[in-house]
Amino acid sequence: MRALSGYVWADSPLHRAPAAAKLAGLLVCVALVVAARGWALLAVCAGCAALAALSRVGWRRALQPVWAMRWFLVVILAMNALFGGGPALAGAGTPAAAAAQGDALSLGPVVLNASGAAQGATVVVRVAAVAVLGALLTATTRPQQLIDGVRVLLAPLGRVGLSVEPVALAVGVTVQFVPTLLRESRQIIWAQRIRCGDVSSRGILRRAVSYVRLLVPIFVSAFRRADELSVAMEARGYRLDDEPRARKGRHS
Amino acid sequence: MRLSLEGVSLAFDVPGGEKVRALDGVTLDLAGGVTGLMGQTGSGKTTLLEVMAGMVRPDEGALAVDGADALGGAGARRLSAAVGLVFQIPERQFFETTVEREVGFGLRARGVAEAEARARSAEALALMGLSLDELGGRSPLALSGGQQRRVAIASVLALRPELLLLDEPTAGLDPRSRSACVRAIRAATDAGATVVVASHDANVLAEAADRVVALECGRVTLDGPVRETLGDAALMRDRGLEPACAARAAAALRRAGLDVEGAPLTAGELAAAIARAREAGGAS
Amino acid sequence: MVEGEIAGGLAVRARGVRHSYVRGREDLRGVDLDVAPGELVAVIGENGSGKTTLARHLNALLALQAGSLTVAGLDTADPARVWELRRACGMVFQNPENQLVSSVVGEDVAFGPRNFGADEGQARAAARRALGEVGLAGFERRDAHTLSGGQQQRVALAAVLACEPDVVVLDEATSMIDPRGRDELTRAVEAFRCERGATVIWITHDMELAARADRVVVMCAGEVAASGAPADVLVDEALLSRAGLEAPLAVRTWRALEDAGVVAPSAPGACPVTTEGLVRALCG
Repeated sequence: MRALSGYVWADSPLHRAPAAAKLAGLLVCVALVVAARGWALLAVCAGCAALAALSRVGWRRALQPVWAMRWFLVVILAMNALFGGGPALAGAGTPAAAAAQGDALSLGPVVLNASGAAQGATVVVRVAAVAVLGALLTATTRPQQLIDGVRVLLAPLGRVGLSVEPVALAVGVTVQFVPTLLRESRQIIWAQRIRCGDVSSRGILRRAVSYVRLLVPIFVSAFRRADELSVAMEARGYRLDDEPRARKGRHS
Repeated sequence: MRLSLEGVSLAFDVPGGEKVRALDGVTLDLAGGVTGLMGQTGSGKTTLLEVMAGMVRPDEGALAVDGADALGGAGARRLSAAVGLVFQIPERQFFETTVEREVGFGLRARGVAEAEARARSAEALALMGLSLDELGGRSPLALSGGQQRRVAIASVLALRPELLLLDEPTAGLDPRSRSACVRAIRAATDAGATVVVASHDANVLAEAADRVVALECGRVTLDGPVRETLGDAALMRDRGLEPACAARAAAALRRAGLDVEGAPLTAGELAAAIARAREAGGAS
Repeated sequence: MVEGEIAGGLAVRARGVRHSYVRGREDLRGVDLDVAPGELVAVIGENGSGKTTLARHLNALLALQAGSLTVAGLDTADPARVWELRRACGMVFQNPENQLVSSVVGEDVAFGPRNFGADEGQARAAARRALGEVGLAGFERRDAHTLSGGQQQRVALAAVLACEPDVVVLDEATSMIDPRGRDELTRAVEAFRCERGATVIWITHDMELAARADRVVVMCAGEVAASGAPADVLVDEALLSRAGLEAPLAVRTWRALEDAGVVAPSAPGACPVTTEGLVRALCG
């Protein structure tokens, strides 16, 4: 269970870097990942790998979210390879896609499509890279530092009159719930699979269908948690619509 | 169904490269009856249930179903078809729009015919003290907490699992829902299922279990018939566990000079033991 | 600080409190309740009987729909005094994880005082003192998620105590933690009650805990079905059964002894409700 909790106790340049800098860095890196394609994307991935090595959190921890999403990624790849990319299905392709296009394999109505597969691989690499970056941030930053980081980054907005505190708190609370939600999701997934008598894997499509079935309870559970927490916070005097610390003198 | 664990050990990675032993050489042989699993939070109860359900593969040791290896191949398929697992707070898994669909979900997914699915859903709900006709059309999320829990347990009971695993089924329940759980557990075992119930509640286990196994830091520290474990207040205290309320009262009476014999587990048994002690005291 | 306001008055005074979450269904159907300052009141009732709804009215987490409710001398319907009310009436909830605002213990406990206008030094001092009171001195820098459920609930209690409340409401605070955690929390509540003389309203399914309260309030279908000393309320098996509850072990044992003719049918108030009472009644 605790393997899922975020922070890794280690010492590295990434651990020592201020949380605000890491947050800003994450945003920049995510932008690069989304913008890059082809060789540039591979270069960005190499950069991510270098960061992971620098962080000393271990490859297992860095790749943990990717492993957790492996089936989701496989489905994305498969969907793209089968249905994506080709001009017949996606309308007129771009010149580049058309150049790369070519049916690699056709089995009756199912057509494996090389350009679709390439497109799928790009999406998968992007998602995986973002997941690794997120893992590196949470593995090298304590939740409290992260909240402070958000506060620092949003401080300019505070000067314009926006209330920073609720956003920082919301981020902190979300981060804090991630391990619990992951654990809970895992249990819900297994509960459903066991109810279907489907413990050993039985095909990718079936898995894709069950992901849809799992979203409802996972979301309901997350909302219920958030609701309980907001009630508990309210009971302890927290009000989003009020300026915090506006009143004085009640406390001895 | 016979489930055997031999030398099952499992360690989790903790950030920073350390390992925490969740299970440490657990050897158990379960065949029929209700086994109560006790232990403090973090003692490994949930992990043990997950291993038994085939969810988690142990690092070391063997898991066998009716003598066949259940860590892979035919044994694993047999286990996955036979197991029913009720997680902590099982009402979290609700996703259907009506109680009837929720309870019948597993049956329909397994290809059970509509009429039979409905009959088995009704039967499972009745076992939990609820009526399909009354609640069948309502949203499971609109029920009271106790009813939700009972619907969630019924959705597993409807599958008639040969191996039924329950993790803290009565936590947070009122006495009426608690008794419904105990009744359903006894009914499942009477129907031939092998049942394992992890619970903090000594009084629930005193009524529901035949055998009690206690874990501490992933090791089995106590394994015996319910009367020799939950009924023995001194032994339970020694293991850092709570004895049945009746056993605690019997121990207190003995200390105060009333020679209550045996190991009463319920109020009725305690009263009978007191009556015998009074009689013996009056006769001497 | 606020003693003057409630001296001679009541800690809680409810008259005809009604509430419905959805139209057409009443969750509270006119609750009348008086709680004296310093009293320990156990509120019992089955899931869905309105206990939590009542608790959420006590510090104005729900808006009063009908009736009147005064807590610690403050009218819960007065929007201008909500802030004061939330400080004067603290709440500990069921799920320890879902009430942690910060994963750092000291930060979590200081959250309330900060909201109520304490400066940094005051908030930290209040947190330190409150953690000491619940037996967690020196835990300020610990990660709350690595604590046991019992310890987390004591952090939640400390977070309430740091605001110096007059009334503390515990809403099924022990139902998700193990027996050791429950005993730790119970001891912490007893300790601060001795120290501060605060009023405690303890919502619970644990009849043995209710038997130790100053007063027991039975909720049934959104109404107060009974209110009185444990020795009067918990011995009424017909009433408890109607409310979906079960009498404590001592009462059930005593009734069985009466039925068997071992003890003479007792006068009202003579039936023991706790194990200690049972021992005293049988062994003199």
